[in-house]
Amino acid sequence: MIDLKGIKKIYANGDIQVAALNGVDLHVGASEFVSIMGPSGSGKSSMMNILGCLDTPTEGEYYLDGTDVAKASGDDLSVIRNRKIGFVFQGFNLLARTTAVENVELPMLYAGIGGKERRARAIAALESVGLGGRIHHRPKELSGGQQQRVAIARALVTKPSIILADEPTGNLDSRSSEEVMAIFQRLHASGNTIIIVTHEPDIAEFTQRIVRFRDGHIEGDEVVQNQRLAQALVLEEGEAK
Amino acid sequence: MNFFESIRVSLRALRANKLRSALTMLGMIIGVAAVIAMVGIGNGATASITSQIQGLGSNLLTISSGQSNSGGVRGGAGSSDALSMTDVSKIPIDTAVKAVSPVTTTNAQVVFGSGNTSTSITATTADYALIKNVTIASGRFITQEDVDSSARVAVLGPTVVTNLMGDANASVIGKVIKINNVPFQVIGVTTATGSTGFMSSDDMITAPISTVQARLIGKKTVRSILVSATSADFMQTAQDEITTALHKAHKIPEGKADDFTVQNQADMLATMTGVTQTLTMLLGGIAGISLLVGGIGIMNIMLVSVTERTREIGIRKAIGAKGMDILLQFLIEAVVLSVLGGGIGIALGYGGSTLAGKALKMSTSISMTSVLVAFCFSAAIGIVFGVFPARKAAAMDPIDALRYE
Ligand SMILES: Nc1ncnc2c1ncn2[C@@H]1O[C@H](COP(=O)(O)OP(=O)(O)OP(=O)(O)O)[C@@H](O)[C@H]1O
Ligand SMILES: [Mg+2]
Repeated sequence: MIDLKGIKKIYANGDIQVAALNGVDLHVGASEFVSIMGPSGSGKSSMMNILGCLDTPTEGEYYLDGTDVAKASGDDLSVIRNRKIGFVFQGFNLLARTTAVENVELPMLYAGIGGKERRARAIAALESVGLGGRIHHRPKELSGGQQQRVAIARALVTKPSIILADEPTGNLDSRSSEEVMAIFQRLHASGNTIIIVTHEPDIAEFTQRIVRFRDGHIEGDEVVQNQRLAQALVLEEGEAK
Repeated sequence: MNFFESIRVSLRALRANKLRSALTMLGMIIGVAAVIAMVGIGNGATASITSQIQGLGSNLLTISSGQSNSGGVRGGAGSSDALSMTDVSKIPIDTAVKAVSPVTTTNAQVVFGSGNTSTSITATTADYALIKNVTIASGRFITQEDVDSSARVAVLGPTVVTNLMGDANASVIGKVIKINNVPFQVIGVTTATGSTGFMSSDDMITAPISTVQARLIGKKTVRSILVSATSADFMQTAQDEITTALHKAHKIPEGKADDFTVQNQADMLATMTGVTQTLTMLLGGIAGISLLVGGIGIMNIMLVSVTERTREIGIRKAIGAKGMDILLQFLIEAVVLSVLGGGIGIALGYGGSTLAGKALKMSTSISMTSVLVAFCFSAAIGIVFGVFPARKAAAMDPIDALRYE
């Protein structure tokens, strides 16, 4: 599914060169649930951006479903992001003046899916993350946890093979965090490949495998012994349909 | 993403920022309205001058006193008293010249009963009707006998009748009116030509030149002599004959400057329309510059908008928008602004020039082509000035755009 070989990412700031990633080899198989951990500045976000085809590596090969995407053009990467990848950001990255359902429709818009189907699938995706009663709310009318769930709905609505999340719970309280992780566990159970970045060990315990980064390379790769099961807490009033 | 979806996305973005969209359009609105109105007024002026000059008569040559430089219109023309009734008889009626008629005009106060009006008096001879295609609605035109006997008779234009009697159909034949206190008998009314304003043939009185010279002006002035050539082909021959005849009559030696000017209608038309066309182009050009400024305004706002919406662009790209999708979105925004502005501008310019036409009592003409050109031009401005910001947006790197604060 995902194969990284000798990935390097070097940022050049004037004369100073920063190697955010310094030769990373990683394999993630289908239906894995992986968390990436490591100290600040160790290259986790750089890694996720490359995995999510938002950025290209300075060096190395990245095989996604067998094709090398490391050297793909901007528009080709757009298509790959649209078809194969669902990305969840720490800062949600929803369009501000746009309702929840329209935000979720957005990737389908660029996939060329017709208006009726788009709306139906967006509503279904929002219902699956417990936001069936909030579809016409704008981001600023939603809590952080709700916004992140809209973002997750947007990531999964195109049925991507991989869902990537860079610190999806970084801006959330523990209760909302657990709800988000419950959604990821459910998606994983239904066959999705999921990779998340997190700082918090107890969030990592909801996953099955932990990859540890330090100074731009992988320092450790372990299987989670006792995977915790996230409790899908009772949905807030009015959210259940 | 298909084109209609792009349009919807763009329209939504424009609606989200109504005030800014409206202000941006204002530049286009003013520019297009100015172009349409200016060109409309200019064309109207050209058309009305053309019809006025053509209305002067067919194959017309006008002799006026004063010298001219190579046939052009000269301010001093008509200022001296070089022409006389003798000159009229010196111009031979032959294969080239169909008719000759002297004209002197003056303004006078006309009274009939309680009605009174101020109008222009055209003092002339019988052939004037032939030269100027004057047709009579009732009664008759002045005759050679009227001129020979200095009869106090007058032919009224329909507007004069209305102004005096309050009714264009009032029977006036045989009635006596007072022109500057001199009684004249009305012998005819001319057919309405519909011309209005300066030199209207409806708002004037025609009377024998001998009578007017003796009773109203007190001088034997001949302001101009009208000559009708037999056909357009004979215009030049007629002009040469007139020049030779008047040279002899005025005893102007070879090589000395003439004290009269012969203008033909075509020259006048060319000169006048040349002037108004230059004016139209000048006005249109100035208005065009404001259109350009409007376009730059659009570009400016679009650039601001692209910078401001960098994050939005990043998000759209992150979830699968291609460069072309982003480019189209911003380009359509620019084109919608310019085309909508252009449309409103056309309506406003149309209204404006019609109003100006009413106020200035002249006809304005807005051709379908000028509307079409203005519309296409505003669309083109949207594309030209929208492409640069749109390309800037499309070329953004998703990661950089997402990091933008
Ligand atoms: N656009 C950039 N230009 C220059 N240097 C960069 C850029 N992005 C990241 N870096 C550098 O690359 C290194 C890795 O950054 P990265 O964001 O991947 O870390 P991280 O592991 O995600 O950290 P955190 O846990 O704080 O999010 C850092 O030293 C950072 O300063
Ligand atoms: Mg990070």
